[in-house]
Amino acid sequence: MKKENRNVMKKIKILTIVLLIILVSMVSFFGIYKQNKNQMINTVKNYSYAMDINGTRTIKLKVNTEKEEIIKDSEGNVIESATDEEIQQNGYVKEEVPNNSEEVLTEENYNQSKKIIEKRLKKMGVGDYNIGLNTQTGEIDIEIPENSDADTIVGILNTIGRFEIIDSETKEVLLDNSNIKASDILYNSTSSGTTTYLEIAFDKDGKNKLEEISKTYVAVEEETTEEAAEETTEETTEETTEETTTETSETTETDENSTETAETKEIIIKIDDEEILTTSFDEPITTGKIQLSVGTATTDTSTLQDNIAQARNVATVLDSGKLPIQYDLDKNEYILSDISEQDLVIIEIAIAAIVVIGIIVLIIKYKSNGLLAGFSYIGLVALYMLLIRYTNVIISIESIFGIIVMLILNYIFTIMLLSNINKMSKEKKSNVVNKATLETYTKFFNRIIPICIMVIAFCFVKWIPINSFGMISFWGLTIIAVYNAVITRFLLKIKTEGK
Amino acid sequence: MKQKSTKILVIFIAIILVVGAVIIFAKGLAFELKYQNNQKVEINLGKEFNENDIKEITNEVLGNQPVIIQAIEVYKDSVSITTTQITEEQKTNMVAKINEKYGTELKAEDITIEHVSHVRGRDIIKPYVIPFVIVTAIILAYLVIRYNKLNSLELLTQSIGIIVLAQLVLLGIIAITRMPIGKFTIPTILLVYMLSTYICTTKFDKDLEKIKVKENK
Repeated sequence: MKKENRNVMKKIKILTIVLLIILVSMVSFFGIYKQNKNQMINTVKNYSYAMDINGTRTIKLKVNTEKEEIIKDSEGNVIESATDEEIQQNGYVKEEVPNNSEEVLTEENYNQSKKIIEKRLKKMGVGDYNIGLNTQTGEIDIEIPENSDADTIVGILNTIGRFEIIDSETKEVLLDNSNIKASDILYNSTSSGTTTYLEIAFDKDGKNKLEEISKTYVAVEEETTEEAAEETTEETTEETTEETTTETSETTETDENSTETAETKEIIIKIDDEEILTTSFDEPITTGKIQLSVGTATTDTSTLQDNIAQARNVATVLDSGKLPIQYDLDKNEYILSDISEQDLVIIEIAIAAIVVIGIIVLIIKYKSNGLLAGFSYIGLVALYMLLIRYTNVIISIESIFGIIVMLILNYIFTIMLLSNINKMSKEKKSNVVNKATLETYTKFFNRIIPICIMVIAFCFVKWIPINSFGMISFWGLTIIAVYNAVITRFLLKIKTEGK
Repeated sequence: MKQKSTKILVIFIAIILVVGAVIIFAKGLAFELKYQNNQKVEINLGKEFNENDIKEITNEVLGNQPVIIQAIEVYKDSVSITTTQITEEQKTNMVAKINEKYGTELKAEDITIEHVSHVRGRDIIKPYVIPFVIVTAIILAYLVIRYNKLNSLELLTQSIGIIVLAQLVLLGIIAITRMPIGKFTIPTILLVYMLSTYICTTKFDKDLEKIKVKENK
């Protein structure tokens, strides 16, 4: 009677686990559907795909062939602007100059441009891209993953990145890209909000130049009392303006509290000919770093994120260097992968068919133990697929291979476990399953330690195809270790030791 | 018997390596269309298309040329057709057949043939080199520590030999079969790499076992 009860209990336990496996498999392979308006929607999270499966943002950069009209004086100096009258009066000449002169259109510069674009992609954290260069025409074809950052990335690819600090009066270039060491983003939080700063650090030469500039371009501000103001007024009226006009100073007066501001000289910071800031310095800069505020202090998260993104884009462009050639964005479109969902379904069916054959082999070789191990194997695959969905692992072609490898490894593990159980059962040992499991774990994981090392190391690589392979394999190895110790061992233990 | 099969294996590997090297030297490696210099046309149909229909048309017009057919943008109403080379005549034929199939009124002169630059082989491999070198160094260090009873120099030589030889054999097979370098190359390299480390540990476990047996005797 007791034996019968034990047998019934054994069957109930096995049946419960098998039903659980079927349930997990149904959820994993077919999903959970809920009605949403008039549609049935699968509520199980979708897989995330890499660009080789999801499609790519395809960008084509072409060398700019436009010409720019410039005005030159009789000595050949470029005049910033002049009216037609001025041109006629002063004998200026209008000339059409190509944005990219023939001298810059060399293979060396095309390669240099490609390298700079690659640097920008890396700095922007693009984990997977393809870049091709036509060394004859200079055309650059780029493929990046299609996501919410794609537009921002595209926006900086053909930015020249010309950084200049110039004298506001003479337009003399005081500092440029050649002196930039690195740029970074800084934040300062006060009661009025968080301000984002773009910090530009200069090299040794740049540091000295910046110190010199900050000593030369100093803002002079004098705040005077009523008396002092009067004195100043007298002085300025007594003395003729002969001396003061030689300096580039402005004098402002108010009726009562008079403030006289004498801003001697100013610099203009320009990025790609766009004036970012016109300023002078309160004190000499000896650190070799300047901080430019991006936007104003804000407490609004989205504004702050915009400011950070803007600062990050400029930092990326400055850090990667100046493009030697001006490029135009010729094409920017999302092209879907040539691997369709149908192809993926075919791969899934092929894998499933191989798994079924493998399980049949297990049943033939190990009878009822093989059947239970087969069920357990299906449960592992189902759970693994769910884990991949919910851990946000990106599926690439590399990681599909990773999944296949993990399935093969689990099959090897299962065979090792079953043969150990068979061997120990024949030797009539006690506690067979636990002993066999321990022996299998020791032998199996000892053999695959190099694979484990590789998988863990690949998890830390930023390049998406390697990272996805590492992450998928990591979860695969984890699930092989945990699931088999719990489910497979338990199933086989009930079956083998309940006799 | 075992010695004989080992000999056959060695000869087989040697043949793969030699023939592979000759083919690489003479012809180079074959690259997937995506990584070659290629030409592309983009056709805006204004309605969803069936990839098989387009495939049929390209087969008729382009013959045996390899072709990649991709949908453009999320609405999938434009198609990108990439192949090794497209002539003006082929373009016109393709447009005519698409018009016939989908009832569109596309004009061949509105569609331009684009040249797409190739991606260099070294650019494909570049991101993988450093991770592989680091991982190999860690694995070798682990093997030396774990199998400290074996001769370290021999172990290192054998491990590097197995890992490198496995990759060379793969390269030889790729060259001989003219398997194009492309999206399946790196996963295959990864697979072979994993397999070679597994062979290393299995081999050294056996060597260790032999030493233990000797010691027990």
